Amino acid sequence: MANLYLTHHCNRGCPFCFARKVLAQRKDRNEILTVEEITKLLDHYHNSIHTIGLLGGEPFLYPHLAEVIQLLHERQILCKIFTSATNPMPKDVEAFPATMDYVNFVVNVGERATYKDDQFQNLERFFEKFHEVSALSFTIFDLNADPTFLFDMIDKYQLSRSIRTGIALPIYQGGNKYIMPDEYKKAGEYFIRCVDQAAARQITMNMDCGFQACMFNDEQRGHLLRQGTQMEFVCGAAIDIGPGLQAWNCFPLFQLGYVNALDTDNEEDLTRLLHEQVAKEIGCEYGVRPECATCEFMEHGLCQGGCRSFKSIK
Amino acid sequence: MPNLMLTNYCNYKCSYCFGKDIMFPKNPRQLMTRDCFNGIVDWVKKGPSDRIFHLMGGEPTLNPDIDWMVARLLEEDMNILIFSNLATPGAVDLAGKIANLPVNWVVNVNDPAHWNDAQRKNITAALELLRERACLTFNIMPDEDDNMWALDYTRRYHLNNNIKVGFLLPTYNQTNEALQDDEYTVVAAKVTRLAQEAAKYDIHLDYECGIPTCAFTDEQLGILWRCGSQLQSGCNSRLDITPEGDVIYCLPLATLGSKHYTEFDSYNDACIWFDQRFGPYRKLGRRIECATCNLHNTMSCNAGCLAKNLINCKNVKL
Amino acid sequence: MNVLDNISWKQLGDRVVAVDTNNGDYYTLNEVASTIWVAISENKTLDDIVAQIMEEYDITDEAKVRQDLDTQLAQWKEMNLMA
Repeated sequence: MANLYLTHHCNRGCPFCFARKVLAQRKDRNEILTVEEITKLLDHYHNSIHTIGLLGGEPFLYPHLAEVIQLLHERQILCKIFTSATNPMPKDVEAFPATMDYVNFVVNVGERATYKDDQFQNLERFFEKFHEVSALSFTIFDLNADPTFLFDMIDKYQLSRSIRTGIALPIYQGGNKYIMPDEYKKAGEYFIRCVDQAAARQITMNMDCGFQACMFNDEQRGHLLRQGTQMEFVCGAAIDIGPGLQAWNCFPLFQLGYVNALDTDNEEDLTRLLHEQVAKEIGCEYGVRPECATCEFMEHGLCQGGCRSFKSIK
Repeated sequence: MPNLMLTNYCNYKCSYCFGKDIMFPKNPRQLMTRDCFNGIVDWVKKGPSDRIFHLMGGEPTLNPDIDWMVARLLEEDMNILIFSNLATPGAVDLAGKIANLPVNWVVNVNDPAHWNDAQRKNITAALELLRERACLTFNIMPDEDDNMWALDYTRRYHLNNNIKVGFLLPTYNQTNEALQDDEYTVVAAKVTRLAQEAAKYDIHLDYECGIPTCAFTDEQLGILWRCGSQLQSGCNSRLDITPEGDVIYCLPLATLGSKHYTEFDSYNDACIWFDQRFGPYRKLGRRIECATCNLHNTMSCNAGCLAKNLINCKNVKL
Repeated sequence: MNVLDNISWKQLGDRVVAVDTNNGDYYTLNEVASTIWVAISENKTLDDIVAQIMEEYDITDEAKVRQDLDTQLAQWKEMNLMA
């Protein structure tokens, strides 16, 4: 799925954020992905896009969010908006129906203590309006964090009972907080504890990118499946397209270069171009451990050996 | 898209057949006619479609018009899956004619040790012709050996490297041989061993409907995943249509009721109608734990076979 | 009292699970409620049910059992599970 990187502005500053470098490098540039650029992209791709992500930075700080949502809706493109919802909803976004079936919100959340009062109030107001189309996203970076707040939030605001869970991944050559591979077994055990607590409250937790199959043994993987976890050890072909229609592979690999999104007219070719771009810089073989080279999971395509960004981390 | 029963009778008499409640000899022999077939195809084409037709029975190759029916579907650019035991001369004949055409076969087999000479001759001849267009399907029996013959046959005849396994499912009226509750874990262990052995040859397991996740331990589920044979505990969502054009939810539940396809505007309407009537019963589950099971509540596991779960259930009606 | 026609139910061990086939509402009954439900479905009299509960659960306060039974049945009637 392609993501549209709308703006460099963000008000949260999450320590694990893998867009940190992009945001820091570009925040003084007065640039956004314009509606004209988005329209040009969709036209160029001959309406072959059916689902698209909107992210940043913070989409609620993007001045044309409602216009873009409407544009995508008219072209029957399902839109997933990644937000912290800690800024006030733009009035024209708030005017959309609470049960619109053409937009889903993925809300990255943290514990209450990580919010200023006004930020949390904005989050609550957002949930009150759009709870039917909102799901939580959570990033594992503190293996002692209590996940109960997630389940309480879901119950209180009647959100989707499925949590998208990622593991904090490094930006290429560093710049954010992340979990080291030698802590992955511990992280796996932590994830299982979270999944079990979630399951006891009829909530499922699904894997976002970065997990490795060897974080778990057979029994643990089977247990995760039984608890309804969608296991994923191969990252999806995420493409981020930003101002000027520059396209890069994903935030962690942003530094490895970008192409112009108009160099092709379909997502498959664009993904291939970007993979070639990355392969030029860091090669095709990857796996965060030496064992990955002979791993049966890698061999059978069940695991990709962790985030490719680790290639830059000693 | 629907499963079309081209016949309601078979050349086999498997004790576990879950069509027993409506097939011959309980009912007179029936063949789907060309007219009925045409009517159904045109009806299906009226709505959105995945363009896949399943041809089954009984034994579909006993219908003398099967060649014509396959040709009709191919002309319409439909995808075809034929469910056959390949043990009839008609199967060998048809396989010979269409082996190079885009028609795939799901071959219902029992342990070859039980085949008679005529069956062996026909089945092996057809498999030779079909090769990767055919995949094997069979039930894992609780009291038989570990089914390695399936791997042997898949390799020997270069068949499709997916093997579909099933648990013995009951009809609603319990007229066939079916797994008892205490045999589920025995069969689950056999499935796991088969998957592990199959993985050595890059062969993987698919699953018939009606297999509950809780028949397996966590470790077994993990092994199945690792072997590329991740368990699916969902239910086949395709409706069955009898030779006379009556739509039923599935063979095990056939006696609960049917409606002629002409009473629905489209196949989609038929699906909605049956889902509305049978859907609520799925919540009953097979064990009390189903009530709080995430897999059951998210419909990733249908708690096994609905027909089995409705046996001993009160106030069941279509 | 009878279970309504649109309420499909079965016993799973010593528990009753039921579903309203009109709207999909699903119910799991605790052990005592399950005992009462099965007894009602077997057309037992209220006196018989009271006696059964007292014996199975070793309760001596007949008046309390009768009151709780009445409350349970009234609740099921209000929930449109029985009439």
